[in-house]
Amino acid sequence: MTNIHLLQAATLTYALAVVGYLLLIVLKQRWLQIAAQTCIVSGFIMQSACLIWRWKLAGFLPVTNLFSTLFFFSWALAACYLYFELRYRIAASGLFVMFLNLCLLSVALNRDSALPTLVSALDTPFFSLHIVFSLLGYAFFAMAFSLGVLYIFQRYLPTQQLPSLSTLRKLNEESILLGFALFTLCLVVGGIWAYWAWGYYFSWNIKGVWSFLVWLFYAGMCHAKFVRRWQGTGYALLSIIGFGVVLFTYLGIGLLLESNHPLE
Amino acid sequence: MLHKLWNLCCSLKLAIYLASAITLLLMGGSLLIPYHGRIFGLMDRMAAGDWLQQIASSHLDKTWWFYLAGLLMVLLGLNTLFCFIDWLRQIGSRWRKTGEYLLHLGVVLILVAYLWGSADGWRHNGMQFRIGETTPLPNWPGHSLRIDSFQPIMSKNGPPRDMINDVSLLHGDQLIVRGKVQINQPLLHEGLVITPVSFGRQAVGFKAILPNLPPVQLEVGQQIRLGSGGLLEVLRFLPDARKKANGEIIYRSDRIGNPAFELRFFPQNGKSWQGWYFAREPLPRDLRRHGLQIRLLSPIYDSYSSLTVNYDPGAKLAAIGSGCMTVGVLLALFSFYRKRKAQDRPEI
Ligand code: HEM
Repeated sequence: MTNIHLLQAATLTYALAVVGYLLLIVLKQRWLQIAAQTCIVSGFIMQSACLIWRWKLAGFLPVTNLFSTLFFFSWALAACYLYFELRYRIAASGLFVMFLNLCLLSVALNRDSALPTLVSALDTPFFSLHIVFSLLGYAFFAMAFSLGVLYIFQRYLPTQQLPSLSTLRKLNEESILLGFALFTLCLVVGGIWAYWAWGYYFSWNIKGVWSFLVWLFYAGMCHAKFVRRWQGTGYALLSIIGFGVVLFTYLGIGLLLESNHPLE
Repeated sequence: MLHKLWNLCCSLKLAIYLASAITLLLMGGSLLIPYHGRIFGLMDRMAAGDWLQQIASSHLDKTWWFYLAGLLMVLLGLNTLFCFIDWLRQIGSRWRKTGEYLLHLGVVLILVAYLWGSADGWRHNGMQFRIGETTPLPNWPGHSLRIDSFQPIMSKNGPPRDMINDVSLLHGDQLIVRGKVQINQPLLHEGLVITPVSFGRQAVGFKAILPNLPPVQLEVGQQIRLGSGGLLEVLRFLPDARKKANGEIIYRSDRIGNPAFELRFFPQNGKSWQGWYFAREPLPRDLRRHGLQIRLLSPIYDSYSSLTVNYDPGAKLAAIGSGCMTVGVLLALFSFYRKRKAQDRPEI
């Protein structure tokens, strides 16, 4: 068995969980919820084992090419979902996140999974932490996106299957703050690394600018919740737009434009 | 009136409007970056102040957004500072918000540090230093850098694993600091940061045979006493040069292509001669007239290490700001959960 078989098995269990949650919405059977949760927990354990395996094989945390970052992003999403699930029992509210997770894994599994060799400039814990914090931050922004969509759904097509509007809003705010905190750490660590590697802590390339924009956008969101008019639907819409900015920063720039953060 | 002005300075709504305007401006403007490399590609190679003066100001049609975003960023910084001061005034009752406001202070410090570094800092990107030689730093009069030794650590294939430079920073003849510069291990000294970029070797001249002499080195600065009694001096060397139609000699590349020497010749008696000798062409007539012949043997190479030498007086302040932000954001999380636990979220 190779580490990729383990990842394929994890993907399969995540897919089963998504099916389980979809059935839960229709059939409303409690055992389906337990089965779906079990699938996610076991998928997460397998994916974590795969991550540790690849880490040991490479000798460094492999987060330096598109396959590895998609893999880590998906792992972070699963971790983020589990955090909310275990803490708040959000059940099917995490459906979008798990669906997104499946999308990431299916793109990743179609790419070359060979372990990359490490360029010396990236051979520092600061770089690894920079990527880890950024992808963990993105995962919470993805969670906020999911909760934002559900908020709008619940607002205009109310259903018993989803948590109340005020719970969705509270969870959304928590996601944004956690994501913002992690992304702030990502920028601080990235700045230190850049200063040591290149002699300046902020680079005026498009990826650098958009990372700053992601940070500024979510900093703005941390305040928008204090403005009465922006609470609720406005905040949910901002969570959706914000995730668009995240996706462009993470994937769009690498695929469409040139930057010094290539994807491959 | 004064009260109203103060409220505006501390306004949360103003902060959101400013942040939104900056976001939109940078979103649009940044899309120009990949398509105008000649303008924006230099932004990391010079301090922002120099870039604004030397490059951006002559391309305002493509850089105006940068000026505007910078101005709004300064306003947002002031807005954040006023919020912080407002909190300080009420710290007795609002000390629980220490995390949030440490984060705000961090933002202000980093912004000030960046402006300071942009205005007073300078950058030499990928400057070439010949090993063992002392090279003056153009932006820092009286100071120079010497690479005492250089050792590359090669990987089997691909880029080098490390570049180890032993570097001395000098003021006149006086040593200020000596240290190692390696990948991810820069030499840091009072705002100065030195990082390795690459290394290589460069042709600096040729070994050559001249009449009645053992092989000589035709390198810049060499003075060769000829058997005939004359003196030949090498003034300049270009490994690959081109003669333009107007007679001007221009540099083409660092590779050996069409090598050219600028020479000065003092015959034993008579007038001296100065001019270019292209190795692929016959020796100029004035030199041949004195019986001079030059037969080039092989190029002489010298190793160099390429380093980035940047000076950013605000770097320390930025580090302090980052520290404030890091502690602040962790404390803010802590206070968020404490608030959640106490269920005292007034707005819900
Ligand atoms: C880029 C600059 C800024 C950043 C990164 C930032 C970040 C933050 C963060 C993360 C929070 C915590 C939110 C929470 O508890 O959920 C916060 C709270 C706050 N910020 Fe800012 N902020 C910035 C600028 C400003 C400005 C300019 C103002 C002033 C108008 C301001 C006023 C506040 C206020 C009043 C709070 C609420 C504190 C409380 O809970 O009582 N911030 N900010």
